[in-house]
Amino acid sequence: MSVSSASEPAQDCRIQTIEELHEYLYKGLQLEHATLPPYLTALYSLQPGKNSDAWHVIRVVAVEEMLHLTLVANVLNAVGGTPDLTRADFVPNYPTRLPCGPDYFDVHLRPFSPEALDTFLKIEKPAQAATEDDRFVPVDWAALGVTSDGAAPPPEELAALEESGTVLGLVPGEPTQRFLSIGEFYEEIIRGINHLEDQARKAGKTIFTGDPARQVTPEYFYSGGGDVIEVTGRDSAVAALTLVAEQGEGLYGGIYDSQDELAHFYRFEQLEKGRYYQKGDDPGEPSGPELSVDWSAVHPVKPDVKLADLEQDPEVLAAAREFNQFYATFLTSINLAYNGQPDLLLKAVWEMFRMRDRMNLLIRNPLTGHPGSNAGPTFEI
Amino acid sequence: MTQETSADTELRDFVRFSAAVTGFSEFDLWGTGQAEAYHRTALEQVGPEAVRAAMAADPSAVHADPVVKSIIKLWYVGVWYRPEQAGRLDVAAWTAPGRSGAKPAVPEGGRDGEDGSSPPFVVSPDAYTEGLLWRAIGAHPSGAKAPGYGSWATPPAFEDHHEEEVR
Amino acid sequence: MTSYDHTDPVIFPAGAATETSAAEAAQGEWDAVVVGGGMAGSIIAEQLGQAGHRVLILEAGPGKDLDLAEYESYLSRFYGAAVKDNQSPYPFNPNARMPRSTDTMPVRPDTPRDAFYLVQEDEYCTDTTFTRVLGGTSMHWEGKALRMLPEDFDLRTKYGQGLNWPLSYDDLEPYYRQAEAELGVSAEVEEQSYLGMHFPEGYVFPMHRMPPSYLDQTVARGVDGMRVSLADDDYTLRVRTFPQARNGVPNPAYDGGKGFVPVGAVSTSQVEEGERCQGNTNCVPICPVQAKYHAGKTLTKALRKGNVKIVTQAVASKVEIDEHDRRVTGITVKHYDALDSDRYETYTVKGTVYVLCAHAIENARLMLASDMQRMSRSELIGCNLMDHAYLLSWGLLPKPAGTMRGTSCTSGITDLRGGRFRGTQAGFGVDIHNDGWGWATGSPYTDLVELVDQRGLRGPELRRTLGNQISRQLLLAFMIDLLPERSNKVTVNERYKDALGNLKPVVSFKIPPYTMRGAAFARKLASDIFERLGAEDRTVYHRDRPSAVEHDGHWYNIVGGNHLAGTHIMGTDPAKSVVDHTQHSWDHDNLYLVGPGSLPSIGTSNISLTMAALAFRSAGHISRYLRAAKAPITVRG
Repeated sequence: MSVSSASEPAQDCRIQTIEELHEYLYKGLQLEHATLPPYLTALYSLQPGKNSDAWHVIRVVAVEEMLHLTLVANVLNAVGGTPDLTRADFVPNYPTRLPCGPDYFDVHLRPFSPEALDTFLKIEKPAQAATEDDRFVPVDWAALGVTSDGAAPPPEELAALEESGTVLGLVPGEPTQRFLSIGEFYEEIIRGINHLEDQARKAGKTIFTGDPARQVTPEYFYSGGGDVIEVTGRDSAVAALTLVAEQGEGLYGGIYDSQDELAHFYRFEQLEKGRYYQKGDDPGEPSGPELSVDWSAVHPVKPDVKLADLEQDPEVLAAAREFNQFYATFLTSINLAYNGQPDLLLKAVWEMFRMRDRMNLLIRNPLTGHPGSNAGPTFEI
Repeated sequence: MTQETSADTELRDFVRFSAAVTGFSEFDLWGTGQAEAYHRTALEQVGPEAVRAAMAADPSAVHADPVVKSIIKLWYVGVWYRPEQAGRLDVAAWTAPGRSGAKPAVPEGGRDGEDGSSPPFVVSPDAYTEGLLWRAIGAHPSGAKAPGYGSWATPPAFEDHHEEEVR
Repeated sequence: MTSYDHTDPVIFPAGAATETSAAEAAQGEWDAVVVGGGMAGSIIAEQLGQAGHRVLILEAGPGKDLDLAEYESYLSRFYGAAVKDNQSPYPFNPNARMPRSTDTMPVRPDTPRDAFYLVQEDEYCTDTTFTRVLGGTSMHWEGKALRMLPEDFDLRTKYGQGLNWPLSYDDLEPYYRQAEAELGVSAEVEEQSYLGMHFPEGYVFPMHRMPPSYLDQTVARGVDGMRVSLADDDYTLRVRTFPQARNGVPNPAYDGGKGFVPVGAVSTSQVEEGERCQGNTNCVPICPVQAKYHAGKTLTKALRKGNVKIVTQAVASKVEIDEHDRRVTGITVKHYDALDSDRYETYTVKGTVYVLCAHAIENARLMLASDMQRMSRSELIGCNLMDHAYLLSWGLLPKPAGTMRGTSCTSGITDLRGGRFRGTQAGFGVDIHNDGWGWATGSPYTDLVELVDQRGLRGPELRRTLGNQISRQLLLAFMIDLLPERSNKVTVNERYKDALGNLKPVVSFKIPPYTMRGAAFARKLASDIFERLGAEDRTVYHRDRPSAVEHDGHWYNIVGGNHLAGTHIMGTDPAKSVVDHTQHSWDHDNLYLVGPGSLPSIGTSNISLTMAALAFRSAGHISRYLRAAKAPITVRG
């Protein structure tokens, strides 16, 4: 992505009102969260004590997605918005679709596998637009499988699609287009902030009107790599969003972000390449210690498992329902943390650990009606 | 419908029986990921006949079949204590995390002991971390399944008996 | 801390543990040869390396890089071990054996020679241990990081007991701060300012204190404000958290507002783990996430400098001495091929200065095996062996208190660490153990056997009873001061050798009456505390155990603290001490003995922080020594 700064001349910008900025940031929350269930499902499908390399790689990425969620919430709070992780459809119904770069692909809940890793790489893939025009791509509805003839769906269906997160990365307000990459999505938000803040300053005002007490500060975030940035104005907002984008994709084509953390794409790529990156490496050419992946030491979670699949196993069904309830409660407490009670984030970490234990139980339970497959969390919230 | 093999049926029966004697649900037991390993361990250690007899015995009797006791302890801490070692607190102490000293008259490392029995063993590293004991006591195995920074400052909660939760 | 002043993550240089062969090391000329890659050795190597000196570390343990895979193999070995003592995570190594608590027994003529490492021939045997792997005993230490009290430094002058230090609290204070930074200590200054302990204006610990456990809070409700009368003085007790070398919430006020970046897990690639304690309740024998400090964190920094090298699987077997000028001319090592082979090659490595950092027992053992006692003016090598005497008391609280959660120990009672009573009896600290009765009884496994096998409980009743019973357990561990006694000692004996032919340490250790008077008082105090808490006292001592000690007609069990010290004490007189205040040998000009062996007393603080502070202090002196030795003019005054 190309990172804007305040000194550059005003660029073309789709965000023209503070409400639009809020909506973009809500979409950011939804996007950051949407990767969590697939990452967690793959993570806990790993049999304990095996696949340590994969385990740590996925775990760190998942923890950093929580960091991203928090950073976006901080920006939204700083510009006077109200994070809401409890909106209907905040959690997508998996598989969800995430068009990114040249690819149209589905994001499934499934066990760790070459296919899952391939999806993770696509999610985090760096893609920088060559020209301004390339930043937006008309949605290929046929490739997405939404319509057979490739025509856009009728407006009401389109609106529902946009709201639900069934297709991620659509341009808010113009859902017939999508962003080339997640990086470009954040680039657009940064432009919007710059534009709106420039406008506000001309009037002697600022868009950073949020209550500073709503910021999540570093002491509340249980770091697994990377620090929370407290957003108090334009610079820190840009820094936070830049970090979100580059922690996924790397900074300016490099493999590390500005906090010296290896970007997610390259973390995952290590598993594909069988070798760790180290300082000084170029993309695609890790030169650190070797690592190994055992694709078979994985519990066979039924892909995109739904409650309906569990009906022959009443105890499993009950536990899966409980899990979804637990997950909804978890989102509620995170939401409270982002709405003025940042200390709840410490307790949310405990809840994440309990979630781990609950997911593990589900993931190891064989399914009666589906031989060779195990249960898993359905994330039907 | 799919064909369930007799091995599958036996395993399911073993888990069903284990649920009754451990006080945990079948879901919980499968959830440890240890069902097969424990079933295999019991079969290998005492033979199919003894396992069958144990599963048919009255589980509520205090002086029940010692194989039943071995199976319960297996689920609770992942250690196979031979039926002849039932009631041996010194053997239990020797295998507990955090314990120092006091070696009982049971040798290490698979050799035969003074009483002709082999020493207790942990079925696998996961068997330790999947022990039911830790859930029963509202905690987590020492060294695994951490509950999170500072969580220890709150009152304990037990999954199964809410009336005893303390405030 | 929004500006991320990032230091390099702790990436262990891949291959560093094996890249230097013993043969290459023996051909090299090193500024400093350091024996032991534990806490003291790592600090010395890191500091000397930082000052530009060429340093070689000799490590007796296995030659594996400190990476996550190796660390997780420790963890997995612990999970799978039938006996989970504090050495259980580490591989059995006949070539550099470690004492194990499970091997504790009086050695008789017919005891199999491979059944033990630490040789004890007395009726009383200590189950104390130390660890011989890369990182040393810090791999299994609990992580308490208390300073010694100012009065501990002049116990003889103040109370007519023990020995004075050649240093004062104030001399060591800046180095305590340096050690607290290196180890990453979590604590609050206000809470730690007691019994004369003081800190410079504005100082804060790197991280905030560990939150006290629910069990601590339960105990505090009964104990806070409790008054104790002792030797004509009154003491008011309170429950206080311990400073801990484990990662918590960084204090933004640290270092004049610069804050502190916790050091997480060590590996050869970038991992983000261990930045904060997760409450695994397993500090001993191994923290699963490396939130607890271990010397590998310092060693990694040292080895990244390029001028610090390490040879592993190299057991220092002899200190070579020039008979004429008594300077050390080399360290002879036996470099073994593998853990399961007794094949080895012998090399002698040479340096300008030699630093023995192999822990109290191994430092003494090595020097005694090298026949250095005959050159010692004090003849105190191996003498004055100290370790905290632990007396355990356990009771059952009236209500569940959440036992088995938290770090192994978050709080305790420290008001009786110091006071005038030390003229007649030992001071002590009290640990409230978050891990229940395990140390004393083998709970919770013994509870399981009792309930299942003896009481015949099944199903939900079993589950419920276990929860109720174990969550109410309270174990108080009294860590009692033990003064230096010449007769408590490490020796060697040609009868006892290990697989490489190195002499094993022979230990003779008795609990002195001064300590036992403290123990007897501790026992009474425990009863009083249990009574105030409404707890049922379940303490039982066994006179048939090697840990049994009789005092005043009563039997107690005194167990080891793994706080070994004193075998080469520091002092001001070469006839009465082995090293000076810089840990410089009185008898060999180019030899330093760095580690807890130099402590002339251990007071009531776990020894590691003090040992680390001393190591930082000595590193400066060693560096000055080296600069002088390397200076072109070598006229000696």
